Formats: sequence, structure tokens, C-alpha cells
Amino acid sequence: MISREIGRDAGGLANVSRRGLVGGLGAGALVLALGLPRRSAAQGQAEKKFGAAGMPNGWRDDPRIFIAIAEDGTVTITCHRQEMGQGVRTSIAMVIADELEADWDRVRVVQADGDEPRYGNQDTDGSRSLRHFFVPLRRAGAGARVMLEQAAAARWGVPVAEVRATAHAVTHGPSGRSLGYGELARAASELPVPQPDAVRLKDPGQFRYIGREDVGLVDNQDITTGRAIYGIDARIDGMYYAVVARPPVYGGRVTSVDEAEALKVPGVVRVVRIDPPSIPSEFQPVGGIAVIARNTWAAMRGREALKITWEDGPNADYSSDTYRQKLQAAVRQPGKLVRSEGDLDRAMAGAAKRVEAEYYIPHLAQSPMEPPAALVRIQGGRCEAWACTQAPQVTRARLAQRLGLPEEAVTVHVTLLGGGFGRKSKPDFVIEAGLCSQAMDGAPVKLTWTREDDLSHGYYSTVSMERLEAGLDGNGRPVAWLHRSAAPTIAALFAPDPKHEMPIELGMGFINTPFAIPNIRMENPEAAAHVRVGWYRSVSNIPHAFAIQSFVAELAHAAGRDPKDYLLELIGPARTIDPTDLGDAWNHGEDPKLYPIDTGRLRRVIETAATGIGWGRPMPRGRGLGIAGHYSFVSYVAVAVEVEVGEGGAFSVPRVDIAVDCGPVVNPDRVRAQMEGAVVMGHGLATSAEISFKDGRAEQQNFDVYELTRIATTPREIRVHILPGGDYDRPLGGVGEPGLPPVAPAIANAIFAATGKRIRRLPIRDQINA
Amino acid sequence: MMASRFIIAAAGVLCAALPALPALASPCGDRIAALERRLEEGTARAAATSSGGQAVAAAREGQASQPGSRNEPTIPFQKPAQEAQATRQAAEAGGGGTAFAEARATLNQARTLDQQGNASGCLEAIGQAERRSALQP
Amino acid sequence: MATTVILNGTEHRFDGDTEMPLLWYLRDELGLTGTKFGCGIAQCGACTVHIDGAPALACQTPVAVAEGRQITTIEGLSPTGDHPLQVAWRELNVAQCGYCQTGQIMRAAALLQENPRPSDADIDDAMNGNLCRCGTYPRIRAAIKQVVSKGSRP
Repeated sequence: MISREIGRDAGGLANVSRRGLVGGLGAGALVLALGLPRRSAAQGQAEKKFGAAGMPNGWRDDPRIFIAIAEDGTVTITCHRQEMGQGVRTSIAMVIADELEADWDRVRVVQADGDEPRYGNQDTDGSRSLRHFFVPLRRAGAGARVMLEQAAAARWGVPVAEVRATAHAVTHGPSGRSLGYGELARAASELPVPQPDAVRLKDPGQFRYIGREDVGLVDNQDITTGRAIYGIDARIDGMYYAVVARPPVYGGRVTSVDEAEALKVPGVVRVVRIDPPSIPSEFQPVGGIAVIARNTWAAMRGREALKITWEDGPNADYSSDTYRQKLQAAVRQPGKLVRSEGDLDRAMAGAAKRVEAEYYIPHLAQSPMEPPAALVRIQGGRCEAWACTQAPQVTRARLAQRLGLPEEAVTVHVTLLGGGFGRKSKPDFVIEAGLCSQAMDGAPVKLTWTREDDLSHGYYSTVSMERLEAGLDGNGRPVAWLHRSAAPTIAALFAPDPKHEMPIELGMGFINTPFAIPNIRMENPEAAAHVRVGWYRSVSNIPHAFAIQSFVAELAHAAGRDPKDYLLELIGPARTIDPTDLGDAWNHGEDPKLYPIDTGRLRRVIETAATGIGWGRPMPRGRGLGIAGHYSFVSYVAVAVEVEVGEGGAFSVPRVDIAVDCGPVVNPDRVRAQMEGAVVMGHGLATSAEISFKDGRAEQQNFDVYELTRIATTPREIRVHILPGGDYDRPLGGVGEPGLPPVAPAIANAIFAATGKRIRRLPIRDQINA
Repeated sequence: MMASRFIIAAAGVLCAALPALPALASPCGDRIAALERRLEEGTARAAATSSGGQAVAAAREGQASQPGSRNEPTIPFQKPAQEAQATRQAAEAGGGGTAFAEARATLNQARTLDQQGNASGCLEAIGQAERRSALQP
Repeated sequence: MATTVILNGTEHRFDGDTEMPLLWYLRDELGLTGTKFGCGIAQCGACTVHIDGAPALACQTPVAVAEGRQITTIEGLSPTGDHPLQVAWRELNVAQCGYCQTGQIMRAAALLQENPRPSDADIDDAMNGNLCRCGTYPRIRAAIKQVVSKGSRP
């Protein structure tokens, strides 16, 4: 009896080890995975629309979907969320293994294919894997534990209340008898899944793994020995390799191509045209000419030999310099009203002092270290893909649609992702590989994006101009607050020429700003998209937090006040705010009753970061402290930064304290890692990263000019403070994204403290000197 | 130097931060109260329809923003036909589904005008808010 | 005419274009995918290997240049995967996505080979060519320093 979902054919993937991603159980393996999973979650979906239930295909908690136990006792946990560095394969296994009372050393993790009707939602974005699946997966683990206990009780003919599963065995207390999980697996697998009320979750005091700092990553061995398989590493016997020449301008197309020289390159076997999409292009490839060869090098050389003339299309004039002026003009005029409280005009007119500032945040590219890459083959009417995708079900649907196959005929195997950051939520690259395979009569084709491809044809983070104006009373307190945010919207991927931010963008740190100011107006002027704007780790929170948290420090300066105290004063006393009262009906998809904005938690992270860095201590010349706090993905993060500015304006960051309150913590080591990583990524976008356009073309094509933080410039010391999460019955917050937004403004504020130079445009580069 | 200076004005601003002071009894006040209730009732629905993943949220919001639509999208994003429809609807709505935020903002404006005794201004604002709220699902 | 490359102690013969970067020979022809592609222009270090014990970027090294030299990749760094750096990387959970880490380990191994007691500045200098987008630098530093402080040698 082999578990179908994990004992599946690995598709002949040559380089996947048995204990790797797509493993299988050996003969004689047994499973708790018979029959169809119950659909309780689907019923739940009809009653409740928030959180996991509000996501496409909802959630599942059936142990048979996620857990298989072999007769040798090996527990195989299927991870249905994608691993891109956040540690989800380890953390999900910790949750299930804990409730299952499994011995960690006998747990292995396999990766689910894209199949949301089976697993529930698999879109790994929005910082919600554990937020949405902690409880369902606890129930799955506990359900399997109960089945093992029932099997043991039946074997011994004793009441189930007398047996207890602990550490990979079930023991009968009165008689002292014990059976290992392997010995019980077959019998347990034949039992019905217990009803939810028959499943008791563990007392958190008894957790073995959840909340522990010292759990090693399940992929550590493979990663450190080079055996970990990413999308770019997938191999199949007889496969071809492809790269694509794409229109240099979004919306452009090929007018003519001469492929003769390309076909002369040794190893090149075929040149294939990929049709351009209609605009909006959603997740479709941008079109172009694919070169298919016997190896990647030949494909790249073949591409260089193509002679293509392009028609650039409607975005040929897109240039960041002029677009920035356009955004600036937009925020100097009233825009669509998205939040209003009190009487701004009257308060502004009566203010003792007025302050205004504009902040510019450029496009960014996610640029995961592994560029997009996928392997696809089509055999006997079935398509199989191996891909580093964050959204395997969406990938499956898109592949099926574009290849003209029923969705059931498409299988998407998910590899490890060499970083994702939102880029790999879009399956355009997998579709390209599918089209190449189709052109090769279904032969396997691995398609690789070069770094130039990645930076030239991305789904960029939006570009944004944020204008803020405040009126202060005689005591320096803000009585009026005007914020206009103009940025092209992600909606432009899906609709022709929308010009306003969507609720998900407005709700990322703009209209849900929880400041205690009596007169507030927020507006969203028009901005058109001329490139593919997509989501980048923490998305619109980046520009919104940068502007707001910088402006608060500017106001503090104008008022002659300490910026940390002033920030706390704006936030006001500890209270909970229903985000819908602020006009944010989105609230990251969560129930506002369960997840109100808690200003007490926001205050606490700010105070913690400030205490950590020694806020208020005397600073030597050239040094300064800055702070910022931000609520996003239903978590609270504050960052305090110390900078040192040397002669000539060069600066370094000796120290960062980052405090996070993300509710109960499953895997504290990974929370730390995500915060550390957010500091480094935030440092990069603050100091040096920018994608600018000229004549519709990205001006940065590789890491020589798209400058990211390196080890020598990374903050010297990063201290992560995780606030106590309290009871595990409390709802979890996000972790992957919320660390990022406060980093850049904290750095800018520290630079101001050190030098008096106010940064209003990212990246900072050499502005300190200017 | 700061510690002594930031005696928090929080108590003072707290009440101001509460967005929903009850409106005085007036024709406009009645409409404000009625719309407030409608927005609150609609909140769960609005949040639900726009709670998809980042990968799906945009199309869902496009659908959610359809004028007058009371239908709950199920899984629009993974059904090409439904998606195409969502895209069209987003285009038609033109505003990207921000009717709730707009209605809430305009409602608050009406409330302020009402409190200031500006009856005609209040009626104009509440009319706008009602029209905007009609756009939300 | 075939080219001979000595890879992780084993001789391989290659009949193809010797201008092909070693990176693609390793990955596509030999299936040794532990050496990663990140930029192709010597800016990220993901493809770091050792040539005659010294760190080299496989994306910049034509197969012709590698001929007759001893090439070591991550797969050959330690037969058991227990090079002290690999152990330290696991003990400190350095990796996030892990993609750049093979290059990081290979670069760090070359550093320690040459300088068993590097200063913080030496570490930053040596490792500065290796990008990590997840931001694992603090733990990379810590892992190298852990190996240095333990004085363990491969």
C-alpha cells in the first residue's frame, strides 16, 4: 500500500535524491492516507470568509492529506506551502510533528504538488502560511495521533482513555505495554479520521518543537552539500535548454527576426516564437523569441546571434525622470479621497506651524538569487512541470489554459525556491517553458532566465511619490495631517489602465495608519502603469512606511521634540482600532474582530527597539540614531538604527535593533532569520537599489549596477527582539514581510540625526554629501 | 532632554481619533447613522471578497468592485472565464474597488459638516457617500 | 579534440566548445548543480568553485582554462558533507533559501585554507563578492568565526 500523494512517480527527475524533494516511500510503506479526504474545510468556507477560509480553496486539516507513516516508523509530512527561505518546510513539520508526538529524527518532509482542491490554498505570499495553517495543521497532527491511539487501544482491547501517544510510541499506562508508530500505522490507517471534537490539541506546555529555538532546518544537509534542488537545477534525461529574447519594452513585440546565425551556433536546435500577450498581460509571458539548445550556454549564444527588430509599443516613452515629475505634479493636486476625519482645511488654516515633504521611492526588482527557471515536458496528453513557483495552483491553471490542456492533465511539482519575494508568484516563466516543450513535441525543456532577463522583464515593485503635509499646534502637536500617495497599481496587470491604488494597496500602511490626529485627509491621485507592477516583499508598505515614518521624524524635528517620543505620541495610548473604521475593509484578509490594530502592541515594539539600541544615549559626532515602527501583515515591527557617517558622506550601520510582535511564535529561529534578512534587504533598498527606466527600458541589467547590500556593507550587528507571543490560542501574525517596511525610514532618520541631512528620495546613494 | 517635554497629549487626541462620534439628530444625521449601519453590515462582505492572496487579490477586487454586484466571487482567479470577467469588471469600475474607503471618508466628511451645523454641505456629502457605498459589494 | 578536466578528483573528458564557461559544463553536462548561476558576470559569487585550491568563478572560467587543473565543487568539498564550514552552517541555521550558500561555503573554505585566522575585515573582504538576497550575512560571519574559534581544519 503506497501513499499515492507521496509515493508518486518523481517523473524520472534525474537529480532528485530519495530523501530530497520528491521522495517516495519504499515498498511496504503504509500510510494514513486512504480514501478521499473529508471536506469539512469546504463547509467551513461557506460560513466564514476571513483568514484561511477567505482564500481560494480554503484550508484542510485532514491528517491523511499531510501525514503518512511507514511501517518502519518513518513519518512523512507533506508540505503544501512553498519553501523560499522563510523556513516553512521546517516550521510546518514542527507543527505537525509536535501534535503527532513524532520523534523529529524520524520525520521527513516532502513537497506537495500544486493541487489546491486537495491541500487548500497554496499561494505562498502575504506572510500567511503559519497564520492560516497553524491551527488546521495542529488538528491534522493531533488527528493522526488520536488514530494511532485508537489503533493501539483496539489492539490491546483497552479503553482509548488508558493509552497515550508520546514520542513516536503509544503506551498503555496500566500494563506498561508499548507499540511504536510503525507497528500501528497500518491499523491506524484503516480507522476513520476522528471527528474534530474527538481530537484534543496538546497543551502548549507540552510542546516538543513549537516555540523552540534550536530546530535545525530540514533542508540544511542538502543545502550545505549542494544537493538541494531548485527550479533551475531540475534535470531530466534528454532535456533541452532554452532562453528567450523578450521585447525590451513592456507591450512591445517582434516585427521581424532573422534566426539563421542563431541556428548555426553549435548546440542550438530550434528557434521558437512566443506570441505577445494582450494588455493587461496578467501572468502571461511578454512574448519574444525562444532559443532551444543542447545546453544553456549554446542557448545563450544562440540568442545573442538572433537579429530581431522590435516594435516598442505604447510604453516606449516611459522614463523614470519624467515619470517622477508626473507623480510629483499629481500629488500636488487633490486626488481621490480615501480617508477623511475632522475638518482638515480648518485645522490646517488654524495651525501654528505647517510642515510639508515629498518622498520618492523607485521601482525595485525582487531579484531572487535564483532567477526564474522551470522544466516542463508534455507526454501522452499530460504536462509535467518542475518549477520554483510560489503559486503552484495558479501555475497549473495558467499552464493548462495556455497549452490547451485540462487542468487535471497538468502536474506542477514544486522545487525549492532560491528566493521568491513575490516574483515567483507569477508563472510567466513556467508558461514559457511549457510553450517551448510544446514546440519540441513535448520533449522536456528547461527554460532559464538570465539576470539581465530578470531585471529587464520583471514584475517590479511600484514607483511612488508620497506627499505629506501637517499642521502643528502651538505645542508642536499635529492637529492636521494630509497624505497623498500616487503610485501605479498592481491592478494594471489585470485591468486596462487602472489609475488608482486598490484596497490591498491602500490598506498596506496608508489609510490604516493608526495615528491619534483629529483632522486627517488621505488622497490617492492618479498614476498610470507603464511596466508590469507586481508585489515585492511587503509591497506598498515600503513606500507608505518610508514616507510616514520619515515625516513623523521631520515633524518631531520641527516641534523640537524627540522623534521616538513624538512617534509614540502620534500613535497615542494603547487601544484597539477596527481597521474598517479607518476605511480599510481589507485588513490583510483577516477578521477585524480577531485582528484589530492594537496600538499598544505597536507602542511596545517601538519601546523595545528603542531600549535595545540605547535610545537617548549621547552620540559622538557623526553618529545618530533613528527609529521607525510599522504595522503590516497583522504584525508589529519597529526598527532602531545607529549610523555612522564618515568624511565625505559615506555611512555605515554599526547596529540595528529590530523588535517584532507577530503573536505566538512557532519557530523563533526563523522569525529571527526573517527579521535579520528584512534588515539586510531594507538596507539595500534604502541605500543603493533602484530600477529606473529610460525609453521604456530598464537601465539596470545586472548586479553591477543594481546594487544590493553585500557582507561588507551589511549592518555590523543586528539584534532581534521577539516580543512574547502569549497564549497559543491567540491569532498568529505574519513574519516574512513585516520586518521590511520600517528599515529604510529608520536608516533615513538616523542619517538625519547624525548629519542634519533629510533623505526624501530612495535610494540614498551619495545624497548625504550632496 | 526629551523625557520631560513629551507629556503625552494622548488623552487629548484620543477622543479626536475616534472616528465615529454620534451625529446629532437631524435629517442628515439620520442618513449618516443609516449609512454607518449599512457600511458596518457590508464590512464583512467587503473584506471577504477582497481577502485573496496577493496573487489573486487584484482580480478578486476587480470583481468586488463591480457596481451594484452582490455576488460573492468564489474562486475567480483560477477559472479563466471568471477571471476575464473580473478583469472586465475591474475595468468598468475603473476605481479598483475602493468604494468602501471612499464612502467611509465621505461619510466622515458629512458628519463633520453636520457637527458644524452645515446642513446643506452635510446633505451633499452624505449623498455622495451613499452613492459611493452603493458601489461597494 | 577532447579536453580533460579533473573534477573532485575524477578525470572527465569534454568534447564540446571549450569556450563554454565551466559553470554550464558542470551544471548541464555533468549534472553537478550545486554550483549556481546567479548573474553570469562575476558579480554574485554563486558559482564559486576552487581551481587548484584557489577560489574561482565558474561563470568566468572557460573550460579551456580549467583544463588539466584540479577543480573542486561543493559536491567535492568533503566526501561526507562534514567540512567544518558545512557543519557550522548547519549548526547556526545560516541558510534561508540556501541558493547562494554553496558559493558562500566554497568562498569561505578558500579563505580559511589561505588564512585560518581571518579578522572580521578579512572575512568581509573575502566574502564581499558573494551576494545573498535573503540577507544571511550576519550568520555567514558567525559561522566562519565559529569555525575559526574552534580551530577545526578540514
